[in-house]
Amino acid sequence: MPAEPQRRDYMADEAHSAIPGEPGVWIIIFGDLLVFTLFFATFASYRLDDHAMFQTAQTKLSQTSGLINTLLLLTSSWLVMEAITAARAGAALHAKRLVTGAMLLGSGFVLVKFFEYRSEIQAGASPVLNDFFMLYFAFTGIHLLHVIVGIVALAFLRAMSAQPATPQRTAIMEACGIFWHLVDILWVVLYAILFLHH
Amino acid sequence: MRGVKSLASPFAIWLLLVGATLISYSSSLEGAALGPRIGGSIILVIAFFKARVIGLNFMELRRAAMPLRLVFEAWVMLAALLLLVMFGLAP
Repeated sequence: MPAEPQRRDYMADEAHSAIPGEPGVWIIIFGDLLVFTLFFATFASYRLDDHAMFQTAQTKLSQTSGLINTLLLLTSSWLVMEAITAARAGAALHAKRLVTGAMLLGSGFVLVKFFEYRSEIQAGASPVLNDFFMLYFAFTGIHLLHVIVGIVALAFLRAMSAQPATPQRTAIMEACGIFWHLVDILWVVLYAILFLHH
Repeated sequence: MRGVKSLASPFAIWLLLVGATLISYSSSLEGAALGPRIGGSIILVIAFFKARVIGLNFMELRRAAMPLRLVFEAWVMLAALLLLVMFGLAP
């Protein structure tokens, strides 16, 4: 567990903007939420057309990989939240370490996904095998791109956290963190509909 | 406001999210016992509960401007309802 920095209580921080991060980041967040909601609905619609095949195909996914990846992202989101709190408190080194941890966990997600894809392809699955795997590879692939972009955003956050905190810098760091949490939210729902829901 | 503050502790939120994940994982394993409809609905409700917890606490929408929070809350509600209905329609 990360050590507590000299934390300024964010909930009581009157100076904080009513819009976390940069306003522009919320356009990306809600745009992505909308697009992924269409993906989820598309998956549900295809599933209605051939429920039996979807159930059979789903058993070929690794439940363990899905669980590990969920825990990796949830934990990295926690570290990012701690890092933002530390950066606001002026604990730059602590913030930097926490973001490094979050980046490592995010990279762990990419690695697990790589091995997962490899083992699925070796077992005969591919985007052209059936509708389930077409949607599975498309949606998890687009999400994986989000993870990679998110890791780049975290690298930016890490670099900024080493500099003295200013309101503008803090807002940009928050925006990077908010994007990373979006990646987490999208995965939480994808994990439920692709891996868990039978 | 004390309760809100303690809920906002990032570690407590993380514990809540991990606990919810493990519950939905075991619901999936015990899906046969619960029945696909009930088990599946529990999994979807937990997923959107987790999404809401991440949004309100990690994205800090809990204390953001009300319109911003309401748009997010509306997304959680509508997306959850949409999927519950669409997944529930399967035979």
